[in-house]
This record gives sequence, structure tokens and C-alpha cells, in this order.
Amino acid sequence: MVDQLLHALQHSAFADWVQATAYPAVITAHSIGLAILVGLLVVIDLRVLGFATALPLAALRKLMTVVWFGFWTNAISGVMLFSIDAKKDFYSPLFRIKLSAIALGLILGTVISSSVLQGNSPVAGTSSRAKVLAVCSLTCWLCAIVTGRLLAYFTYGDIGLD
Amino acid sequence: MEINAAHPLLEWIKLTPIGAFVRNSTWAFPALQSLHFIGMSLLIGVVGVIDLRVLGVARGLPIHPLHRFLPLAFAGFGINLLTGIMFFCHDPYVYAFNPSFRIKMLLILLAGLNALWFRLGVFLDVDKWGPGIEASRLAKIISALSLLIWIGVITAGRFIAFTSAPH
Repeated sequence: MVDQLLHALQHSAFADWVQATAYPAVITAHSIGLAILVGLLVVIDLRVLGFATALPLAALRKLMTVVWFGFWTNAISGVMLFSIDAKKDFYSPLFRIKLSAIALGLILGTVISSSVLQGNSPVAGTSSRAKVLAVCSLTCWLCAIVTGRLLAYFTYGDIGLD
Repeated sequence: MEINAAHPLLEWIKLTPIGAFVRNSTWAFPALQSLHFIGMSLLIGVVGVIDLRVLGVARGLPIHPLHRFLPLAFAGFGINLLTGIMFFCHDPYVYAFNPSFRIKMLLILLAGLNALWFRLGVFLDVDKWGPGIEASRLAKIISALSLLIWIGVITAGRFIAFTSAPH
């Protein structure tokens, strides 16, 4: 059942169009989205960890709109990239780790944004709980980048994970 | 392979131990690619936050303390310079004649000059731009250019794989 769906997607007119026409633009959008999403979250996480404490935490929260713009850019371009390699991606442990890391990273980002990025005092420290969240967030995004890159070079069988 | 004889420098670069190492290892290229994307995120993240604030996004951030993150941007640039050199050594012929690669290098140079313009032209005013205070028009122009140029760098970088040298 799943295999039939993956097969249908991979051989759809949509997937053909992505592969034949849109691919360079889609992969470029995926990289730009990554730079926005991860780049801004790294700055936020490092502030939570104690970098540049003169920055008010609540003001950083405004950046989350841009972070979500980067995320949706990559969700859409990601679905398009998935359609080309649906079967290979779906069964790849690298792909599954990547999606799990992204899901966890988004949850952590949302928690940090709603519970840490508040308060208007110009110089505010953060709790050790907040710092743990920030370290976990950085780890998730590091993991998402590395598995995403490796996915382009290895199919799941090649690296002995299968 | 007449092209090789015509380019002793590229041939020499290709035969360096770095080039041989990247070519002969299964893991080197994907690992370097991962580092290149991590470096990109650090560099563009820091530059992007500063540019966005100058342009008026998250205006509650004072601009001066944002510059504390600059060492991180330089670290990202350093990672990408080193990994980029290793890609080049791996097969200089792929890059040296590739129009996308040349445009990418030109854009990085432009981004550097643009950042220098910010440093020399408006940096002295940065102290004044505390929480909620609008940056000058010139600063906004430089920041908008910065964002456009870096998006161009990423685009040209990705297009290296889709363009080949004219023969």
C-alpha cells in the first residue's frame, strides 16, 4: 500500500516536472530556507546560552516569523524533492533521522520562543532549563543538516545502516 | 587531456595531497559538504539577523550588541573558505571554468566590500540605534544589498552543479 503510493508519487507528472524543470530552483530554495531557518535559530539559541546578553529576549521573538518563513520554504521545496526520490527517501534511515530532528527542533524552537523569549528587561539571564533546551535545539539542527547532506550522497544501503 | 597540459597550475592543485585525499575518500566529500552548510548557516544567520534588524524587523533589538555575534560569522566564513578550497582541490577543472563558480566568487567579494562599506560608512552610528530606533537610510540600503548578495551567493553555489564550462 505504502509502496504503491510512493511509486505513484515518484512516477507522477508532478515528479516528472520537478525533475525535468524545477529541480535547480527547488534545491536552491531549499538551501536559502535552511540558511534562514537554522541561521536565525542559532543566533536565538546562542543568546539563550549567554552570548550578547545585552539583547532583550522578547525582541528576539519577532525573528520567529522569519524563522517560520524559512521553515515553510523548506517544507514545500522538501515535498517537491521527496517526490523525485520518494521510495529511496522513505526507506532511508538518514531521511527518517532528518525528519525526526526537524520535528524535535521545531518543538524546541516553539517552547523556547513561548517560554524563554519574554520579559523586557534589557539584560536578562536565562535559566539552566532554557540553556538545556537551546543546546538540544542546536543539536537537532546540526543533525538535520548533516543527515540531509549525507542523504544526497548515500542511499540507505551504502553506509551499512540497513 | 590537452586541457591538463595547458593548465599546469590546476594540474598541480589537483595533485596536492588535499585533492587526492578528497578524491580518494568516500566520506570526505559528504562530510565537507555538511561542514560547508553548517558554515553557511552560521555566516548567513548572523549577517541576516543584523541586516533584518537594520531593515526594521525585530526593531526592539539594539544593533550594537548584535555585533557580538560577528566572530561566529567569521568562523562560518573560515569553515567555508577551508572546505571550499578542499572542494576546489578535489577537481579544479570542475570549478575553475564554471560560470556559476566564478559568479559565486565575485558575489562573495562584493559581499565583503559591502560589509566594509557598512563598517566605514555607518558603523559609528550603530551605537545610537538602540531598541526601537530606526537605522539610517544608507544603513538600510547596505543591509538590503547584503541580503540580496548572500542569496545570490547561495544560488550561484547551487548552480555550480547545473552549469558547465563553455568549451
